[in-house]
Amino acid sequence: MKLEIVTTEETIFSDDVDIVIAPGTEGQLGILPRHASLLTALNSGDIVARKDGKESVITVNGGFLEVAGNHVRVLASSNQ
Amino acid sequence: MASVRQIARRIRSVENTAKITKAMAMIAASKLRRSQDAATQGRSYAENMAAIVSNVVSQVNEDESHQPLLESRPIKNAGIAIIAPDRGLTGGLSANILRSVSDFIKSQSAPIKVVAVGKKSRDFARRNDLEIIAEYTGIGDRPNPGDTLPVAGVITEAFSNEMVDSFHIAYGQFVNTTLQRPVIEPLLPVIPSAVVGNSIGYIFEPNPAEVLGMLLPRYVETLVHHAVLEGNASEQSARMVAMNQATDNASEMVGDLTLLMNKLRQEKITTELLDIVGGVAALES
Repeated sequence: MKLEIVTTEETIFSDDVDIVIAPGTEGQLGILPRHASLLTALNSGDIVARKDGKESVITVNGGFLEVAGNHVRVLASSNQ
Repeated sequence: MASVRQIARRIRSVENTAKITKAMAMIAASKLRRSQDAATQGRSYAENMAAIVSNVVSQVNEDESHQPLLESRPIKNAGIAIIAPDRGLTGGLSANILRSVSDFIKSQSAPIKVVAVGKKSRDFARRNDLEIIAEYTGIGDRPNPGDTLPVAGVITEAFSNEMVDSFHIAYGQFVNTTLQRPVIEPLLPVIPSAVVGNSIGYIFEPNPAEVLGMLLPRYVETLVHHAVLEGNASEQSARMVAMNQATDNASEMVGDLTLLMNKLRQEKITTELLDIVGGVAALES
């Protein structure tokens, strides 16, 4: 499953991951591969991406998360 | 006829001008690289955003959700955001943008209200007695989203409280270093582009209307920010080209003047020689 996090300025993360945990407005949500298509707004917080047991943590200041196909795309608000 | 000394002075002055224009061209070139990166990097975000918006809109029942930013009303007042450079010496860029805005305004039957970004744009609005909703100058060479947020805010607000019924945005689109195209694009009401391929059946959290309600203002912010980035890249590239041309013209002028000066000097020497030869001949006879 591919995770891509972009801001208006740059792509800050783009890699294959096993699970994504994101701070949705309705609560934390974990996304595993082959998740159904989903669109949600995000609260400020940490997006945790795990791959082979290794974790990457990316802090976002709100934004949107889209799951389509086997692709997770985060349109993050800028960190300012 | 100018004396040799006068021409020498002019040559020095032109050379100094050439030094300045050359420095400006080099500064613009280095700024251009950054602005160009920013504009192209931002494109992927803007495109993603547009794709999502059109997908969502196609799934949301408009009457149900009632999004103020999608509402198309009869146009009693039209708004336009004009994004033009703060500073001059950009060749024809500002003039081109403002001319196409002029044409656009003439083609509109409704009264026009302006959001001016950049000094050139503000001056244009004042000169033409257009009503200015807000003006922003000094956004700078490296705008970050925080700088353009208030612009988008004013635009969405003016639209939502029905001060204007449509909004366009005019800016210089950066095509390549030698070509910047003035474009005027509709901004509000948001007209979602057709869905590319199959529309995706999303699950929405919390619900479609609310997601769309949050998404649309962000979308407008993205479009405005992107327009400013494009405008910025255009400005730098236009300045670089204009200043390079000025430098070329200056060195050509130096060449011409040097030629003229040498001719004059030679002429002077020849006349002096003739005088001497004539004098000697007169003495001998």
